[in-house]
Amino acid sequence: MSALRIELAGGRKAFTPGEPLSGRASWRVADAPSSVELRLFWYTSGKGTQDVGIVDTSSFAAPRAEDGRDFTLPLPREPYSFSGHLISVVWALELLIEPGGYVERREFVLSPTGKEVVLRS
Amino acid sequence: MKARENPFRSTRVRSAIRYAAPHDDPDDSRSGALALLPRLTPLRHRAAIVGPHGSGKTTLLEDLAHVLAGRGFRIIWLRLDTDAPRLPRDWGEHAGRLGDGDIVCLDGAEQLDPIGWARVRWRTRRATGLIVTTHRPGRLPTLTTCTTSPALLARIIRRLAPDGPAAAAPVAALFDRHHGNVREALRELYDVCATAS
Repeated sequence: MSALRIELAGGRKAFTPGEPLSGRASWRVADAPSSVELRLFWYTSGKGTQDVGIVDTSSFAAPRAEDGRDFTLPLPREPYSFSGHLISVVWALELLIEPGGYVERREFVLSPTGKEVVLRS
Repeated sequence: MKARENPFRSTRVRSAIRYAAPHDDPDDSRSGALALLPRLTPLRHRAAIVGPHGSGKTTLLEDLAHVLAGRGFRIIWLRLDTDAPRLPRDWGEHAGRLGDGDIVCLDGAEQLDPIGWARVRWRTRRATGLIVTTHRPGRLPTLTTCTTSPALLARIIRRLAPDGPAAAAPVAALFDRHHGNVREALRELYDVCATAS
């Protein structure tokens, strides 16, 4: 039975542009992984084709089958988390473990106010 | 409604709905692709998935590629559409390295003119397979023909949005309005949900 987890420092769910994003990634899988990556990225969701922007990728060295690592990643200035009728931009961290293709995602908000910007027509 | 909460957002449609023949359930089991495997070997993995716009050809080819990759084949994708109707410039270089165990999946073969098509067939001759989607039969033996129906569209709608304004949509009229193109019908329902609230 596998278990993957991403915890953000202080249980935070929102961050301001440029501040560091800290937390801990932990996992338990059957065998020692050959690679464990943490990706910081944004993606679009809505009516059209999805866009994805990978901002940072960190690899954890010599991962064990049951392990945990602290991380700190600098957040960029943009794009802000926002939603309109046609498109949303969502920020997320993803923990990827191979072999096995295990994935865990933790979404968060990036904006100056700490809240998703909502566009209304 | 926020775009990321819309039940008909493109990412949700792609992840929740796999190819289904008109009498199957549009679930995520990839059963449609699995059912095609026994037919692929006698066709030497050279075959076409045929059907009109929005009938699920690309979804079925993606499912089939996923199944084949799980069986050890290396999948090489070529995606053509009206915005990008030509093969990538570096395609010839990649094609020169194709060999045993490689299967080329070409989505949108109808975009190629006869010379472009002949070029693809020649350059993939050493690959294990070439599977294409196309609107009309004839370029390769037909593996399956994708069709849609109002009943299929209704099942997809119920799966994506069992409640809300889309659930009350008159499905037969929606199906007819888009000439059986399920993708376009779901896009219309995206707009219905986006503006309803």
